[in-house]
Amino acid sequence: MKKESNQNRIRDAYDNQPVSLDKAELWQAIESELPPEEKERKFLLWWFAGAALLGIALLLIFLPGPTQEAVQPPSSAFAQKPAQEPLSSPSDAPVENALTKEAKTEAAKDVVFSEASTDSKENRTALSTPPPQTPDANPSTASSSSGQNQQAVIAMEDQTTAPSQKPKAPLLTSNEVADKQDKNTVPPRTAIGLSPAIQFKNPGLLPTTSPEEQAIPTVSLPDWPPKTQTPKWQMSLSAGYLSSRRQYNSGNATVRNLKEQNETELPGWGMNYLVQYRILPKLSIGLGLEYQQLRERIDWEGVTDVRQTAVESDSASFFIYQSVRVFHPGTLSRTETDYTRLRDYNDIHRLSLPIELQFDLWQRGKWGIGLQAGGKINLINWASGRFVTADDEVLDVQRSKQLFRKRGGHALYGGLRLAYRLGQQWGISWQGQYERQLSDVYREGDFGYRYGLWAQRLGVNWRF
Amino acid sequence: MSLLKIIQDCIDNKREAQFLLFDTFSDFVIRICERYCPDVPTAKDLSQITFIKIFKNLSAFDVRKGSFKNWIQRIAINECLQFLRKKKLLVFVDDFSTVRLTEELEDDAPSDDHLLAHARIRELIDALPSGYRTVFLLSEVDGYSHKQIGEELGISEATSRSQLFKAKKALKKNWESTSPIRKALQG
Repeated sequence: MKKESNQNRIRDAYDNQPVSLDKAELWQAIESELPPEEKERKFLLWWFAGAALLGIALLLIFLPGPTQEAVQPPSSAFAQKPAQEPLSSPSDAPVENALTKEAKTEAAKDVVFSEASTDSKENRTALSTPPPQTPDANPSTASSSSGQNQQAVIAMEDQTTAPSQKPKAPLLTSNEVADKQDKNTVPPRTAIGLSPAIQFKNPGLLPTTSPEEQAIPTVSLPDWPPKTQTPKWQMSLSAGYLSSRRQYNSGNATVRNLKEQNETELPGWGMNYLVQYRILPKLSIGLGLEYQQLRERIDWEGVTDVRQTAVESDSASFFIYQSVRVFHPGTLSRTETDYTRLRDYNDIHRLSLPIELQFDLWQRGKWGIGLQAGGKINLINWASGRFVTADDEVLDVQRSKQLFRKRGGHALYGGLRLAYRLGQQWGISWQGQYERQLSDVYREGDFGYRYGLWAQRLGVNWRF
Repeated sequence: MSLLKIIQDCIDNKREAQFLLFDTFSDFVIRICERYCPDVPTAKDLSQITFIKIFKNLSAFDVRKGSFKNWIQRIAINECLQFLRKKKLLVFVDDFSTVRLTEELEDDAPSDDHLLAHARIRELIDALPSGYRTVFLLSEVDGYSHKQIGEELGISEATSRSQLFKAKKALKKNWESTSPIRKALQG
């Protein structure tokens, strides 16, 4: 008793000891050695996320909708039979029959020469517009030239020489042109597949024999096969089921006699919004936002061997300390007693910025296979969980209410995608990915496989 | 604001929370440092090192393993012991003459004031050789077992027991021979 009293007096003597140090000065010294506050970094992160969202919103607003003409099959009769009879197509017949020779000559005088451009759309517009100053022309000419089947128009090549200085060349039909070319053994000046620009921009390269020949009108044709205009920018919204299997890297954990289940399943769902830019015809890069909700379940069996027994006779205290330490690789560690089987649930919410490269490996009809690889910058992680026994008895209620908000969880991933197009803008895809953690929301070096069944709505165009 | 919230904010490197933590535990830490190293500049340096170590290792603190105060106490004591070992100030003597100490204390005037009594107790303990004092403080004030003391100081359990016994004997002799302290303890 007396010993205890003396011990208390000694402890009191130190507990009531006045502090002689200047605390303000001490705090200043400590503060100078602490790392600076990370306010700026947080601001930068949120600014980055905000800018990404704004960019996505602006793209949504200003990007054009689906371009039907890009995938529209050629509907004109002319275009359907381009190779067999390019110069004597039925569409030429009404023109040939309707125009008299005089009318053709007069019309030839008044033809406004226009430089053909490489843009097929612009070319089509120019060609389908009737000549502006042809009052004498037969109305059937105009109607036929503006018709869908009358995309071939008659034009003249020489734009520099005045019509008065040149001999008046008769306007020939395509059949006449072909006949004349055969007779003079001159290579044809129009060829299927060559763009009008090449034909008009390089007249000097073609062999010319006479002024009359120079005046031979050429027939320009639309491109065949039509150029598919794949969009440079593309957006996709995906949502789907996720199933991950992850293997833990337990590192240097000194847990004995605890059979740790190193592999766990994380079922859940996710949403992904991606804005993509096509760098190459089959390669595109994308940036977006991804939200994932996963539920993790880990089973533990056995007990650790962290037992400590101390007998203190000197201070007349005697205690035996025995504990079971359950080790969780990442989010928690816990001391409990007498539990041999535990099940650990974690609910994980993640918001991340994926940066992804996609490569279209193969496509046939509505099916497509692609490769994708990229990285994820995790913006926010939430995790909440609880321990339960094998009988689902909740051991740790406190923890179930507790939210773990941790930084990190950045990852690299890569995988395969099998997609099937359901419509112009809808599709489903199965994705298998390998993902490796780069930082320690769980533990650096964790890796896993993720399989997802996604439904996708594409903002601009479906690529497969 | 709960302590856990303050700790979490400190982990997030929030200066306000760090100051709050410092303000709450500064007296506690400084007292530990002054207890083991009565020299004021040394105690200040050790307090500073202790707090920096606390802030850097807060994420390693596990509330399930023990109280935060104990965790801080352990860090502070470890820092002090490390300093004493480094500076070779820990000398474990086999014999210690209590006469000199008694003679020195006899010159002081007696007092009934408790605070003064505490000061005299501290003076008595501070006057002990460093080996005695450290073992005595670890055992009697901070509640370390001899096994733990042996591990911390790199000595055997038997040496720890012996040092504690001799320290107690020396103190007892001084208490009995100095009337102000006896008076204070009896009162």
